[in-house]
Amino acid sequence: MTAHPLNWQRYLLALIITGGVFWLAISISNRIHNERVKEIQSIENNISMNILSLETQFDLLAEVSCDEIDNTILSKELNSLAERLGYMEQQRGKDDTEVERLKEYYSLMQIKDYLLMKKIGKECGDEPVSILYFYSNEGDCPDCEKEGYVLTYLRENYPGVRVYAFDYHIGLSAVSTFTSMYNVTENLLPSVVIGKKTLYGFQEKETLEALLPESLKKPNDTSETDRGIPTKTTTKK
Amino acid sequence: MHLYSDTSLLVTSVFLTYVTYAVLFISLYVEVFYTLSFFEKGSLTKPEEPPEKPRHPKPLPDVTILVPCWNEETTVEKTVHSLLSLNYPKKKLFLFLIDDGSTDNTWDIMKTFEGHPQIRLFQKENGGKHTALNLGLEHVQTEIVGSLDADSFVHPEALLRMVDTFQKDKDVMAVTPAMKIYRPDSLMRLIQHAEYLLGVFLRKAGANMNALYVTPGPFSLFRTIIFEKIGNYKNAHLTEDMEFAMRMQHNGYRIGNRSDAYVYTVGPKTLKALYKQRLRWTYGFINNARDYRTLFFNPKHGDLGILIMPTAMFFLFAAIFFSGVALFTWSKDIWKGVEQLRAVGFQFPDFSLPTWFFFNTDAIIFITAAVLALTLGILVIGKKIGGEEPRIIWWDTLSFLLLYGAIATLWNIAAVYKTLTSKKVFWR
Repeated sequence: MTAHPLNWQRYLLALIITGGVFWLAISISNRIHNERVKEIQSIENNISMNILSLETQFDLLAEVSCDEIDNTILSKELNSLAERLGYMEQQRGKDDTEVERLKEYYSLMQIKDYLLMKKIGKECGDEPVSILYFYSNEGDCPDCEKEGYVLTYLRENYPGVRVYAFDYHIGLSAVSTFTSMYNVTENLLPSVVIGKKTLYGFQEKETLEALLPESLKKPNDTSETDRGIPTKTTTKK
Repeated sequence: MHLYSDTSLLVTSVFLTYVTYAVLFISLYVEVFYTLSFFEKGSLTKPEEPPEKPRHPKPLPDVTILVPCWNEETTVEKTVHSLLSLNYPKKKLFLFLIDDGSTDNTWDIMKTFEGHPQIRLFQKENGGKHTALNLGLEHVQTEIVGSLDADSFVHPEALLRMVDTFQKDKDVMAVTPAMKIYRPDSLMRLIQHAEYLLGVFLRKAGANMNALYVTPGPFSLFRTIIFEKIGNYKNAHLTEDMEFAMRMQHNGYRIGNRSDAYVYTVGPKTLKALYKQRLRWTYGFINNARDYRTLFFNPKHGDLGILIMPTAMFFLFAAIFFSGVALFTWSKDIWKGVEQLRAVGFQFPDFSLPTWFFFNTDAIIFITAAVLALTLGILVIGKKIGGEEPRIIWWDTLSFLLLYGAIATLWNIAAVYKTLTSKKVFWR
């Protein structure tokens, strides 16, 4: 019969190597996460700068023409930021304080952009098409995901439409003011504000498309016809 | 673009994440442990010494090989010829061909060897492989005895090399070979080919720490005295080779390995056939492990008791867990896709390359990559010691890494289910 001596050094060495691999993996992952945070911060800084620039341009409106105000860059940046924040929130969870802070900042910038666009619209006579979307991702809004798809579709297919999405539970007083302005409550989510209408519960793509100004619909219809995709909403001029 | 990020499942996700980290930690730890054990005795740098021309030759022992057959008409002849071609003195090698009540032409084929000076024939009513082996054992008079399933073939030098291991280590009571798949000509056989080469590495490492718990039917050799000491084969949930090895370990006997003693076995060709074989093996492992539960967490049994047996059982359930997680994630994704389709209709997917920002760089991804890389490294070493030719693409390795986890779940779940419901498994 043979004795079975235990080689504790091997157990320890295996533990050190395994621990080392874990430490390395977590370090690399955290480092990349920090890079992501930096990229988001950089986009937020850009947006902040652009908002300030637009505000300044707006203040100078008396001196410059409406044509010189370019808000398309800002719209693209806000979309890019939404995309990145959504991804980070999925990756790190909504309890990540860093992501939460970035999201709060994003919400504030959306509000600023919304207000500014309204002002510019009034002044320049070019009323912007804005959609406010209130959602919750705490598991209490089963239709929010579906509504998200519809609004993503609108944002991608109607470049003239600015969609502002707000997490109902973000805990930001500015967003709370917004929700009380439009009588949005937790049990009415998802809620969509388009023009002067506030719609509660899930809204189909066709319902929201019907509320868009006719001028916005043409490019989308053309592109879909070109692709050969059958669509229920063929609103052609 | 995401206007909504789904975090509603995060509570479940957080739990799953912690469990995943724990499972990955144990997986990597065991892989590292096996690798350290493999290299500890310089298994790669000091290849097995060729026994063909030993400096001080010891007289070779007499050997009997038992060949239990049940409906093996297509392979038995080739199996016997491969044994007769072994590089071993004819006067010292005896073959017992035992027909376990075959219903095909196996017995007729066996009879063509009647009168061969090295061969004895036995025929009995069907009673299971262990009864055929035990019938042969009753007549064995040699120092070494082994068995070879009638669907396996041996390398001409295999016996001499394994006997060499017996002669070098007097404590070794059994020697296991390096098993390989014979002609991997289907996807399932390719997967098994890689799996068996991984097994070549693991068996060597396992032997280094005396933690082998299977003496495979294809050509494991024993000192005959071990059967006198601990008894003959048992039914053992249709995995007599596993039970016997566990019994040896339970009684403190050493099981060795010879990694250049190649034995080729005909692997199941289809998924259905593979499923049946593995269901029997997994069921056998669970139930034999239950019968020999004293091996678990018992320092008396060394690495086998402390690490190898507990983690072998753990991995069975971890594989089921991971498959469950994968199924849960995929179902969630498919459901999302359906929801999206219903909400906005078909949208052309965006085929543009995402920027680095959207690559999943979660720590779990890096750790999984490390586990896979080490598995790949082990496979490469397994191929090297298994005598495989280097190639640019190893289709067997690729198929194994991509598919094995998924298909293994099928028999893992079935084996657990059958154990829990006390249902029986069958040979074929």
